[in-house]
Amino acid sequence: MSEPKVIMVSSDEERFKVDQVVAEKSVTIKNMIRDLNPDGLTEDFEVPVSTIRANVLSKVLEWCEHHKTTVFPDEDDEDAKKTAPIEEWDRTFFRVDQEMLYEIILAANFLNITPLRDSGCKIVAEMIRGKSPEELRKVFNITNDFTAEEEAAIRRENEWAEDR
Amino acid sequence: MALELLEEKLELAVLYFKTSNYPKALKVYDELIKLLSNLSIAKVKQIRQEKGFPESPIIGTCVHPSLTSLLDQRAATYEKLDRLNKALFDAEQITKIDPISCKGYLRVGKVLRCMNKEVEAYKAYQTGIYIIEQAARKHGIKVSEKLLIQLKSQYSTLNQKLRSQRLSKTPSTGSNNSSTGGSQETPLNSQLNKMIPLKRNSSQSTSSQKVKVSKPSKAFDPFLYLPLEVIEVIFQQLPIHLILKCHLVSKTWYFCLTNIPSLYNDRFILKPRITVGEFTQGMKLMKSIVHKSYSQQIKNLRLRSVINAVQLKKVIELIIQEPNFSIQNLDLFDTNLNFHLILNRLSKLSWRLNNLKSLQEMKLGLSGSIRYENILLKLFPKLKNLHLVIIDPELNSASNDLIPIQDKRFKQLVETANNELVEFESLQSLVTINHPQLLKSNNKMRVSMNSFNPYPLFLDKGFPNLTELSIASFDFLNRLPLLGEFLIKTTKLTKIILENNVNFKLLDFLQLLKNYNPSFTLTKLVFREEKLNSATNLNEFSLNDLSQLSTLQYLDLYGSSLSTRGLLLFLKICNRSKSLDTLLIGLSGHIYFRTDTFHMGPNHNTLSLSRLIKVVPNLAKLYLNELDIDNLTLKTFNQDLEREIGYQACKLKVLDISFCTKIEGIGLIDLFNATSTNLKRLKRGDQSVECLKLDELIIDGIEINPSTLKLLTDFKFVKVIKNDANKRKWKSFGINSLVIQ
Repeated sequence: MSEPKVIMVSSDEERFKVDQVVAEKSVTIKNMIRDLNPDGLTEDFEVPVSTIRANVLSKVLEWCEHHKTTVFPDEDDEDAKKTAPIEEWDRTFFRVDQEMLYEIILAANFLNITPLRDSGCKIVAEMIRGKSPEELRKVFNITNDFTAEEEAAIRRENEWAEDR
Repeated sequence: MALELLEEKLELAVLYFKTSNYPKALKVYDELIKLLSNLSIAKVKQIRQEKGFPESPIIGTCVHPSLTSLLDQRAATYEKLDRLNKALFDAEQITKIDPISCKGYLRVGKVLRCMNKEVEAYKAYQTGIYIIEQAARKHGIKVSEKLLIQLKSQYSTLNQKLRSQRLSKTPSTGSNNSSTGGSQETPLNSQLNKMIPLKRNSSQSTSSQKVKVSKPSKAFDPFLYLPLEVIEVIFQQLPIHLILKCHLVSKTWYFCLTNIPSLYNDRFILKPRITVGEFTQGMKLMKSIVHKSYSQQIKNLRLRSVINAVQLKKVIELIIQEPNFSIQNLDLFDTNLNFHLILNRLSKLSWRLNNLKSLQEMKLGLSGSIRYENILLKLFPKLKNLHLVIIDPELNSASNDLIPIQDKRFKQLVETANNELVEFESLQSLVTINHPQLLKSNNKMRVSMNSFNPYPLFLDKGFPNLTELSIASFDFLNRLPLLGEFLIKTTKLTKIILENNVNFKLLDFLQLLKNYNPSFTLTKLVFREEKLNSATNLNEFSLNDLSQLSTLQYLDLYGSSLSTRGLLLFLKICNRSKSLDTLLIGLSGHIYFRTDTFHMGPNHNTLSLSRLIKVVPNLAKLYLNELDIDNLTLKTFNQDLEREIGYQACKLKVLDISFCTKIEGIGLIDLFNATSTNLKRLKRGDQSVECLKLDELIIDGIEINPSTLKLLTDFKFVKVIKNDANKRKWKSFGINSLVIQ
């Protein structure tokens, strides 16, 4: 008999059949499998992930598949997590529109796939880095709702920090 | 009205409310809230104690225990009366008083939804859940499970609703229907539409214009999409000044960001040459943010200089005295700062430490020698890390007058601090760095200053839990026995860094270890001698000596006077448990490598790199800066590796050959065995080609043809090559780099 698989069902009822190692990139799913099958999986395991749409879930699983053997830096090592550069493959993976990017991050957050969430967050951080407030408003389609006085007050409030 | 009537009045108000007699209920609530708000703090504390509450809450403001529920009820009353702004004000008061009140956030959200401000309600729920969960996770503070579930379910229902609204709007059709706020509009704009229904027509036209202007690609505000915990991860990536810049984007950004204290409180990093005005502004902002955190503390305050001496004085006063500005780690460097000034300020404040009461780490960059250093330990006995760095040798001559010699408490402190033999149990890391100029024997300051002290500090004190000791640029004349006694007492040391000290050779240190035989075992040793002394073979030592060093992982002997023989023996001693993985032997004047000029063969006093690898097989990082190494050294290394060790067995990952000026591109090619035959085989995808493979190669200070470097990375011999031809020499690095700037 072939190895049991994990079947993830998206909010729009699409079914994704993946290897256990791939699904277990999600700590949430990993714990669920462990809790419900203390002796290990003997048959296919179905998990509804009703908060994630099929097109997002398929992206998330694409990432898990690619990284199924990747060893990530220690969870507790905050510094290592922060400074690690974005992998080239991840960068290409995240060439999606903003909405999809956010949805993937949300899904990773929900499924507890920390490296995917962090990688996505780094992409957003890079979109923010080095841009003026005006440029940021353009990038994210935001209207400036400050009055000139409020803006001046915030600028004053910021003067203590080194601007480099 | 007397307090005793509170219960009765309350029942009355509830009765009015239940019977829909809202104006009357409101009147009673007004009266009660006014009464409870005007109580004195002492009275509030007394009542809280009587009713079995902690005297003041762990987080939030100390108020009468019934105040928040009264506010909640009054908000509900306002809601019924359709005075929504009033209701919102009360609801927000609750979350201000008690930041983990589920009821508060539920009320804020409910009122906002009544006002049709769904996005803001969503944000309120989100903020509440975030703060409450942080409180539970980090501080174990529990709130009512039932209320929290209620809050979460409100949040997720609203979240789904908002999301489906967003998804159902496509940019092309969004223009003709602006009633619920299409995806192209910002939420505040859409709220504006709802709040001013009379102007619907005109706002419709502006919003449809906007859609035409904006690009067809979907752009969304991440703050509306992502929960605060994710926003936190994103902004942790960014330095503080960029976060501050983001405050200017929109109100949503400003309020969300300033609601995540962890983005700010560990990096209050001030710009150099700051003025009192700028400092005050920063402090005000920090205080308001930190107030929302549970520690209510600035974790790290770093200040690298104040514009002038007068303003520095004022800034120091603010740091110590400003109410609610507790600091955990203080990092203060200023050439106008000196120990006298600090003592002077403390004396003026009657030795009350205020904000520095729970200080854990103190890093000071000062001018002039330190006197009365023992008082420092006496005043801050809870310090875990203490770093004292003399960044400027010259002490302002007026500074001597600053010492509060007339102060009674000061006199008493001096006396007890100097005479008592006290142990400081909390200190874990002690770094003292003197200014090299204060070592020169004929220095004019030595004559003119009575506070001049070139000798190492604190060696007569006890630090039973100290793990890390760094001493740089002091004079150890006649101080070695004192250091020996100190090392015996300090049994938990794991890292020792001794750099640029006078009258203190490596040989002295090793003899000290042998004679006093302290019981610690080190993982890291840095010993950088002040000048090249006569060569030492370590004949006095055998392999079984120096048990303190047998488990070293990191060894830095920059500029050491070990001979080749001495070095090899020392490495054997340090690698007895095979743990050594990092070695720095740059600028060692008595070690000769096999080069074009010295190639008499292995029997002579020349060293080959493969010999190092054989003695320390687990070596992963090797730093050979400023040594007499040339192309031949590298070529023979490659040959020896192939013949005697095997490329697979070599664990080397990082190699630094900066400032080895005889090395050229060809040497690097030979090091990696990148011959044209091998390159051809690699091009064909031949996996059997064996060669040295590194993660990092550092060759600063040498000009190498970029195409050679590119070849090495293209063929994956090295992952990263650092080649900065303009970098300064190694001498200026190390812990002294703090001084020599």
